[in-house]
Amino acid sequence: MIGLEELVVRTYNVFFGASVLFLVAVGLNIIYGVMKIVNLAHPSLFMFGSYTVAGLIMSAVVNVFGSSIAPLLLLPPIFAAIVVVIVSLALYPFFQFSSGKGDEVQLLITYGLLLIFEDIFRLVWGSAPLRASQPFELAGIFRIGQYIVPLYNAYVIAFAFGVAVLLWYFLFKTKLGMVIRASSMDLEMASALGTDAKMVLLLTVALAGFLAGLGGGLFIPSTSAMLGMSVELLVLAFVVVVIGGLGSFFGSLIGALIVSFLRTITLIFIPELELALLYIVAFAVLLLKPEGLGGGRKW
Amino acid sequence: MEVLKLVELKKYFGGVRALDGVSLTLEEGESVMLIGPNGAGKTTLVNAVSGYLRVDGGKIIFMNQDLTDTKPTERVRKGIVRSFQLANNFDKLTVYENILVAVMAKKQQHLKFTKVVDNYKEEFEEAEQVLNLFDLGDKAHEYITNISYGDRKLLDAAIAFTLGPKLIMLDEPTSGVATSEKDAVMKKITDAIQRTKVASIIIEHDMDIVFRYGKRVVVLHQGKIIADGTVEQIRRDEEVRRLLLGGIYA
Amino acid sequence: MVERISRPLGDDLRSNIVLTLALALAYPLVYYLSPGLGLVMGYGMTWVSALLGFNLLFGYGGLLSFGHALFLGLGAYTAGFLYKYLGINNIELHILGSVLSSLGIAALIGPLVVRYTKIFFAILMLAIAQVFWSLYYKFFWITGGTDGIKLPRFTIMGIPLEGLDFATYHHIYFYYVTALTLLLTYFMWRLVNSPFGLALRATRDNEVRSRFIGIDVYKMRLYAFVISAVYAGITGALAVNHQRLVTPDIAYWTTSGKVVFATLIGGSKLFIGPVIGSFVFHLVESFAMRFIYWQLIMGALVIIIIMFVPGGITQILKTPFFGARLTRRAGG
Repeated sequence: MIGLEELVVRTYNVFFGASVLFLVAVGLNIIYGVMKIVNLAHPSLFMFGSYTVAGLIMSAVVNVFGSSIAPLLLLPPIFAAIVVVIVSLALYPFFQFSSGKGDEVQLLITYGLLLIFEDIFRLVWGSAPLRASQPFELAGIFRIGQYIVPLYNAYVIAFAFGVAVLLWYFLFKTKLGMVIRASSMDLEMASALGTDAKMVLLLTVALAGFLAGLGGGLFIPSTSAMLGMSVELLVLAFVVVVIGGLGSFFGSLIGALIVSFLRTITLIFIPELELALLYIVAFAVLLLKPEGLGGGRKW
Repeated sequence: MEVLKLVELKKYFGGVRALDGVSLTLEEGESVMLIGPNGAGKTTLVNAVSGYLRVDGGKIIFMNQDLTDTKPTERVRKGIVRSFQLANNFDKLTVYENILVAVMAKKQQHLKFTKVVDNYKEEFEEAEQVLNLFDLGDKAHEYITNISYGDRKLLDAAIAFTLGPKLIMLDEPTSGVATSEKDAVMKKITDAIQRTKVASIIIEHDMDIVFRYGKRVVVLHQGKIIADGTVEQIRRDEEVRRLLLGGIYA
Repeated sequence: MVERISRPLGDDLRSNIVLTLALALAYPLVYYLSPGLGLVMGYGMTWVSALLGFNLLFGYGGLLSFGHALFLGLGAYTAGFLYKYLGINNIELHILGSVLSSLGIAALIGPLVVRYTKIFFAILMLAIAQVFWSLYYKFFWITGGTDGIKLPRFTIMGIPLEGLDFATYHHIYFYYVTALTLLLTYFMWRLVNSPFGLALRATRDNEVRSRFIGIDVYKMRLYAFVISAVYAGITGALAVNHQRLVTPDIAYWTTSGKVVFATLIGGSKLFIGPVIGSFVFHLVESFAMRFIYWQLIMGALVIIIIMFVPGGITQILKTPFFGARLTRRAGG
């Protein structure tokens, strides 16, 4: 039987996994919400954040600040976010081309981007796993009974929670956020109301990129960046999106928690069937509640 | 014999009563023109009878059968067929293939894959007949994107006739059609209706067309039938005059 | 009197048969000049089936699958398991087995996935394929994991080919696959030109209108899905007999990407497109593979094709070879 201590540790892991998945899925949902594009290369942008931190930013930060913990925790995700925003904006013409065309056009173009990103990672950073574990090690560990738990993951959870709150505030309480949400309903209408449609789209792409870079930069110290992770994340993020509801902010939260919970459970009992069980659940949701468990709300 | 009998049909969209208890009976071979201001529920009625929308109340009786809860495909097979307000064809098929696929669907041959379509002589001839009937023969091998909007609307109606319906519902067959083409389109459609003796419901916006081609006219307003009679009766009806002729159609 | 249906070059049966026969005739010479290129042609011929199957869904049905590796993998592992656990290396039984396994799994998941179109269909297929890949990968005590299952030379109708030299063996493989491909091409051509094919294109163009002429869209898509799966499964069984090794790679998402890519290169809008695509793709791949960043090339080409030549090679060949009559029959 699972003891109390193990339960706490497992719960901790569920929240950590959910944080990462949320950070991937929320950007995917924002782009979809506004532009009606499923960006298959979005997880690649997330990994771009991870790779830039592992391959460049982390060592630069360490060079400048040594081993003082605060900059090591804060700066890499922020720099990664900036880099990925720039990359995302550079990809804007492709999104613009895809938007409004047939679905296969956007799927194939973003798929092409995904392929290109995989090889850019290989080209620039090689095919060996890349680490940036300095803050992870500096943060140290704590004990829950017999279990040793990394403290850095708590930081990831707190950070993701903070991002979720700020994002909620931005989307639901600021004028700009409302413009973005209004645009998701009807871009023409929004532009008729005097919003510059192109600015909104650029802003959306930048926001999704920002979240991806932030997430990637935050996540990397706890793991190592490897080729193929983008697709793994895509496959998981898709379950999140299906379960939570496509294009929904709250859906990303709920979906991420559910997926992370299911993963943890299956990894304990039947690790081989992890993905299979996730997809059985995703199918069940699609069949029973096609609009997702986010309650079918738009955001 | 009654082809269609609608009993107290209701359809609500939130607080809007698109259909608010519509009862209507159509005899065999009877033609009805359905008119009314925008948002009166005309298209909703066609959507409800064809199965595009589920109704919130009431009954749809077709040839003495209750079809209220059946799927669109089943209604098509029973003989309820419709066209759409915006020309709704198969864009990447030729005009010919648009009709041919309807012939195949009518004969329930669309799941057959043992023979190449070229060998379906009878079906080809049937498609050919329809094309000639609607004067689309010379455009048979054009793609939809290359023909005029009037022809697309005509094709939409032709597809509906191909299915050999007992009740045909055409949603504004002349909307979006150039004024010069309108009469020609309507003439072909009314000819086809007379020849096939099919019961019909035609939604029409253009009152000139209604007065020229209409026999029985039903007026819908805010989800209710407010008048039902011959063209002459409707023309003289004060309320209809006020609503339609005096208002938007002045 | 209305003229009957006429098919542009590349969409008719004859040009497809002629192309396949021409490649079969050229093969010994190509192999003589460069055995490596001969092997590439072998892969090209092997993949025709999968691409025809993929394009039935994509070009004719409008359903874009990012997970056809699922069926290639099923065909491959069926062949692998038949040998590993039953000692069967008879290629007819491998093919039959792959037909049955891909048919079975497609019939199982089809009713779920064909309810969805566009994005959902595409990514659901990607995901299901990844699920199967993870199974092959993780149940290594059954599948051999990344080491895979090694296959001996196959037998044709029980006749062993062990004593032959490699060139002869490979020639036999090539012509065996060519014969099978001709047969499969013929069946597929019949299918897409049958009332079923016509109605499938109708559902692709306009789902709502299809319903309102009485076509059961769901059933059409389900049948197309299952047939598509069987064609891909056959390629799976053939491909592993070509390289004589079954590894999870054939079920990985990159394989699905190659299926999509090869079809796009050839062009999804004519029946002949995927056939041309299969050979051109493997030729490109054999050169690009020397350059390890070949996904970069593939990704860039996908984008360029979609943005500038959505009809693929058949679109480029249109004017000089196929003439002005080449219209957009299958695609648009």
